[in-house]
Amino acid sequence: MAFTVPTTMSVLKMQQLLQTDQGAERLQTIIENAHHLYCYGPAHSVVVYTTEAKITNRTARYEWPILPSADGLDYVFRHHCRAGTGGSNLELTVEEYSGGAWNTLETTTGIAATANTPVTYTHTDTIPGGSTKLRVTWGRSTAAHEFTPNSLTVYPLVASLSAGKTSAGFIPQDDGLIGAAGCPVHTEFFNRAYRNALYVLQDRYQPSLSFVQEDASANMLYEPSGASLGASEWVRMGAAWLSMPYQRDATLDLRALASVNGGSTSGLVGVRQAGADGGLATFDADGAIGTGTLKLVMPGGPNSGCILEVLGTHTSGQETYVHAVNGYWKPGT
Amino acid sequence: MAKLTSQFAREWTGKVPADPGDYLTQATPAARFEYLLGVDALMWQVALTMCQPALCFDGRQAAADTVRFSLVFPPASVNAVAYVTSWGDLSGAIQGDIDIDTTSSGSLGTSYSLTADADTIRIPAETFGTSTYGDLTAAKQRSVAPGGTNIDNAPSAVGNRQLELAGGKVRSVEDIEIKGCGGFGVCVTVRTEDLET
Repeated sequence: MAFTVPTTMSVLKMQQLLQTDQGAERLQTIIENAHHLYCYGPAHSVVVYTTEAKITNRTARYEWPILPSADGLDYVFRHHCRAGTGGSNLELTVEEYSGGAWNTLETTTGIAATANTPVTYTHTDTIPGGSTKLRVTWGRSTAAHEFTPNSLTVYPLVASLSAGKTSAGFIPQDDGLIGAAGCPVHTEFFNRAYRNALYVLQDRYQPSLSFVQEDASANMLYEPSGASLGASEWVRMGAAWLSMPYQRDATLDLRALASVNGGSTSGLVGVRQAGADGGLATFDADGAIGTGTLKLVMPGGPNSGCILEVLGTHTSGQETYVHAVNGYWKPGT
Repeated sequence: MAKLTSQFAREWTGKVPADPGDYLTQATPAARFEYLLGVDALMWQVALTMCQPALCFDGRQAAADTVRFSLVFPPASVNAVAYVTSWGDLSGAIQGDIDIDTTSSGSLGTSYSLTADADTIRIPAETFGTSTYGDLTAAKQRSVAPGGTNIDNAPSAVGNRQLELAGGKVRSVEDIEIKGCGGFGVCVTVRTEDLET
């Protein structure tokens, strides 16, 4: 009696599926594939920091909105940072925001670093289903030594399953139900596998856009009023290609974090699809998570995708601090 | 009969049942192989559905021209096309060459800034302000070019020019290092792998 989670998906050959005198072993393979999907899903968050280079004598902190699984899964956090001068340890703290407070997921002062080399650090932690933000702080144990944070990728890795329906609606299936030799295929068994796969699909938002700067305004690399454009003019702060093979006209869920040093906060951050007549999603720079959606115009087919642009603007005499803009996609939307 | 990944490509927009229970939820009709085929296919449709994010960043600072990040690719993905964003700096300087190293294409560097070697994929200098396109599967899709294009067919760093992925029947996590770039996206276009092999 067990909830088997294979480390790879298994392939049923077509003849195995078509031969009606075969037993339930083929269904067991399908069920295990559904378990695999639950435990080895797509990425949850991918962020490459827009940040000052070779930071010294301070820490660097980044904060961005997330849309995690409702099930409070275990996730792998894969960080990349570059050490500059000096051989002191890198220091890292990772926090998530839920229940009205920041909660520490990982903190270490012992990441070994050699001068002028890239460093990769990986840890596994649980993100609660109600979490709304991640926050990462980098530093070095010797303050004068340089460091340049590069990126963080977060993806689920669930070690095991247990009985019962999850918050997302997934219901694991025990091997013992159909483990007997020659056991017949029962409709409910593949009903549940089918529904499990769809629940996983609908529960896992996939990262589609990211632009993240430091959360301290004094340390931000880019600020819209620093461009040569006047107040109320959009400044393109980032642009990159979003790939969504075979998808047509999908809608993204967008989140933004921004603030100002004074004046109006209304509609100072934007996201749009380059070259499309579609809308512009705008967000207030009021320090709270801004939410919005953007319907894309895409052709479908294997190369389907588009260029997304992150925009910022400012009011006269004031500055706008775009801390983070993130897009997430739930298949079906 | 081959079982190709391309058979499981699926557009989802507006096509996911709001309540998955509205299909195959009853104890009847009796189990039939057609339903097994459908359920088996759905597993692969879900497994292969992964978008790849538009990553906006600044990899053009003189003191930090190289960034490293990880991407998660769907099962049975063996190569991919990269889309890079070129930027000029505030002085109007033209974007220089963009170099890419990946885990599966070769070995990642160990120095602060990426040094081109035989494994490096080079996308040549573009003009200011364009969102250029780099074809990493050089022999296969050279002419596809949304946005500005200047594909170097004889790069200074030769060797393996494909952005190779691990393949296999599980998602893969690929480390990618890129020098001199202002944004990155990648498209997994090859979906004709035979899952039965």
